[in-house]
Amino acid sequence: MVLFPTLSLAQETPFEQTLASITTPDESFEPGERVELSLKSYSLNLDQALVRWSAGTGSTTPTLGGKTFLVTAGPLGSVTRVVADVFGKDGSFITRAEATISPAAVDIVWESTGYTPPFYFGKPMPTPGASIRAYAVPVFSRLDGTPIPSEGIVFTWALDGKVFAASGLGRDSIVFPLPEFPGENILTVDAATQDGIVHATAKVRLPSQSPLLILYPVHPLIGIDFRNPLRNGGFIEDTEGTFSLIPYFASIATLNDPLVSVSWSINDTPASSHDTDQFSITIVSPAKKVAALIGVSIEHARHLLLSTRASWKVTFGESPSSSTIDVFGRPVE
Amino acid sequence: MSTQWTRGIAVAAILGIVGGLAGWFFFLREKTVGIEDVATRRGFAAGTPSFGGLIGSLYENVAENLSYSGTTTIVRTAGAAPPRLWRVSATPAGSLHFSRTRPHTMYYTDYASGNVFRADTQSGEIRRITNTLIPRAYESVWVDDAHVVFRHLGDNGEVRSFLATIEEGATSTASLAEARGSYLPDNIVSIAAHGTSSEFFTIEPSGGGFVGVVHAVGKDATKVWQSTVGEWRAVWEGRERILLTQDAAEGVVSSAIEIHPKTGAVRLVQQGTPGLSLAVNKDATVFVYSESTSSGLSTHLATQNQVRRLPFSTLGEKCVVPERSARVYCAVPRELPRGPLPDAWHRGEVSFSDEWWFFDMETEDAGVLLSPELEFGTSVDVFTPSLDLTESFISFVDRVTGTPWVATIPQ
Repeated sequence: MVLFPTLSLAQETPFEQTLASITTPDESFEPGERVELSLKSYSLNLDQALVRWSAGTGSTTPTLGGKTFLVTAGPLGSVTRVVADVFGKDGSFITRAEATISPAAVDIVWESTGYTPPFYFGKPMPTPGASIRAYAVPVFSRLDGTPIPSEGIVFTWALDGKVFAASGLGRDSIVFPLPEFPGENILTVDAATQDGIVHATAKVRLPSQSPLLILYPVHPLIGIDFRNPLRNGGFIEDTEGTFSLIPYFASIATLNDPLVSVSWSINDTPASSHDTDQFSITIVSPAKKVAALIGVSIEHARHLLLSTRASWKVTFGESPSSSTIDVFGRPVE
Repeated sequence: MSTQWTRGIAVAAILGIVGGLAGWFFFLREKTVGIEDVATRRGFAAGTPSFGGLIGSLYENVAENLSYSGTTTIVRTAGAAPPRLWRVSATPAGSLHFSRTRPHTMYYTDYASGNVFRADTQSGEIRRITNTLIPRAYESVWVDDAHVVFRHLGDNGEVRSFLATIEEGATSTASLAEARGSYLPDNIVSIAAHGTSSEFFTIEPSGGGFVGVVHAVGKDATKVWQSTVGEWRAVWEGRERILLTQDAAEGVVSSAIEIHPKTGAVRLVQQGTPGLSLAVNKDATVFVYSESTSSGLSTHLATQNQVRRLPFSTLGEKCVVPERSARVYCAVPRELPRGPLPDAWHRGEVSFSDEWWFFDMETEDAGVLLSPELEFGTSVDVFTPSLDLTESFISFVDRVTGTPWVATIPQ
C-alpha cells in the first residue's frame, strides 16, 4: 500500500548542537523515497573535515567534506536513526550529530451534518448553514517505533487560516459551523508532539453547494423507492402517484424540522402536501396521458441561502411507446 | 272581481313555488358537481393502484420462481440447475448472505415482507424459511446463518434495527420458523458482521458523536472506539480488523481506516483518494479501489508492494477479492453514465449495465467473464457483490430492481 506521508525530522542531541547539526529540506516524502540530509556547522569548517554517515546498520567511509547524505525513508511508522561523525584530517574525533527520521502523517476525515436519507451511502456535502465534523488520524511513532496516540499529540485546527480555540493537546476532532457566506473553506490541521520533534500537516478544501432536491416514488409495498427517482420527462403508468421529496444535504437534522417550509405546485397551481408530511404529495391525474409539471420549493427560516427549487415534467397514465416499462422504469422482459 | 283576484294569487303562488323549486334544483346540481370535482382531485374516483406489471404479488412471484417453466435463461427451469446468471427472485431483496459453513447456500430476505429464503446455488432449490412479517426491510445484515438484523424505518423516520434469531426447520416439510428477537439502539449508521462468529460491529450515535460497539449474540456489547465522524461503511467478514470506508463523493478526498475489534486502535489504510470506493480481501493485503473526479473514474489494484491501474473503469465496491484465487472479479459498466460517481449512483440518479470481468494478479491477464446484456439479453447494475465459501459463485443485488442474483464463476 503506497501512502503519502509528511516526513518529519528529529532534532539533534543537545551535546552536538553547538558544533554540528543535520538538516533536511522541509517537504513531503513518500515511504521509500530517497531523502538528502545536510550537515551544517557554524563553528567547524566541514569542508576540511572527514564525515562518516551511518543509517540503520550501514555506514559510509569517512569522506573529506562529505556534508550531504542520501537515506531511504522507511515505511510509514518506521524510525531511522542517522548519525554523522565528524573527524579531523588526522582522524581525531571532533563531534557527532544525530537525527531521527520518522515518517509521520496526519489525515483529516470530515463530513457535513446536512441531511441525507437513511441507507444513503454517499457523502453528506456541505451546504450553507451546515456544520462540519472533522477528525484527525495521525500516524506518529516514537523513537522506539511505538505509535504515539492522539492523546500525546497537539492538534491545531484552522479554517482559512483562522485557528479554532478548540485546538490543543489530544484535540483530534472538531465540530464547527460553516460560515453562511463561505470563503475558500480550507481546513487545516497541524499535528505535533509536545516537543515538536514529530509533526505533520494536512489540509482539505470543503466544497459548498446548494441542497439537491430529488423526488422519489412511494410504493405501497416497498415504501420510498430510493433506487429510482422521478426523472424530468418521465412516465408514471398509473394515473395516481405518491411522491416523497428528499432534500439532500439541507441543513436540517430531520424532515420534521419546524423551520423548513415546503411549497408544492402542479402545473403552476399551488397544491397541498400530505397533512402530516409536507415532504410528500399524492397526485391524481383526471385521465391517462396527462402531463403534469410538478414544482417544489423549500425555504428555511434561518438559513436564507438554503432556498431551493426544482420541477419535474411527468406524464401520468402512459408508458413510453417504444417499450413497456415496469413500475421501476425498466423494460419488461 | 274577487274570483279573478283569487285566481291571480293562485297562479302567482304556483309560479313562485315552481320557480323556487327550479332554483333549488339548479343550486343543488351546481354544488353536487363541485363536490364531485373535489372528490376526484382527492382521488376518491380513482381505483387503488394495482402495483401490477412485472412485480405482481409476493406470492405470485415466489410461485413463479418455484414452478416457472419458460425459456428465459436467467430464471431457473423447474428441476434444472440454475443458469450461469441466475435471477433468484423477481421481487426485491433486502440483502444476500452466503453461508460460511454450508457450501452453495445463500440466504436472502424479501424486501417487502422480511421473509427469509434459502437458495441452493448448485441445485437452484429455493425454500422459504420464515413467515414473520417485517415490512420494508431496506437492509438486512446477516450476523451468521441463524441471526440477521433487519433494518427498517420507524414511524418517525428513525432507523430501527431488529436482531432476529431464525431457527431453521430440519426437514423440507418442517413448518416455517419465526424470526424472534429484540431491537438494537435506534439510528445505527452501519453494521458489519464478523461472519463466522456471532459477533457484529455497529456505529451508533452517542453524545453528539459516534461510537463503535462490538456485539455478540447473547452477550454484553463493548464500546471499542469513538469518533466525531459517523458516515462510515463498515466491513468485517472475518478480518482481524474492521475496515471503515468513508461515504464518498466525486472529487472529494476520502479515507479508509481499520479498527481493532478488541482495543479500538486505529490504523490508516487509504487516504487522500477522491471519491474512494473499495473492496478488500480478508487479510487486507489486496485492495481494489477507485478514484473518481470530474476527469473520470479509474480503478486500481493495490498490494503491499505496488499499485497497478486496472484495464477497466468501475467502482471499487463492485469488485470482490478472493482469498485463494489470484483473480479479482469486478462488475464493469459497459458505459459510464454522466453524473458524479459514486454519489449520483447511490441516489439512483444514474445506473449501470455491468459485465463481470476478471483480472489475474499474477499474469495480469484480464477479460470478460460474463456479459448479461450480450449473453442473456438482460441488464444488471451490480450492488453489494459477495463471494461464496467455495469462491465459485458471486451474489449481488441489481441496484435498479433490487432483485437478488447469482453469477457462476467458471472454474
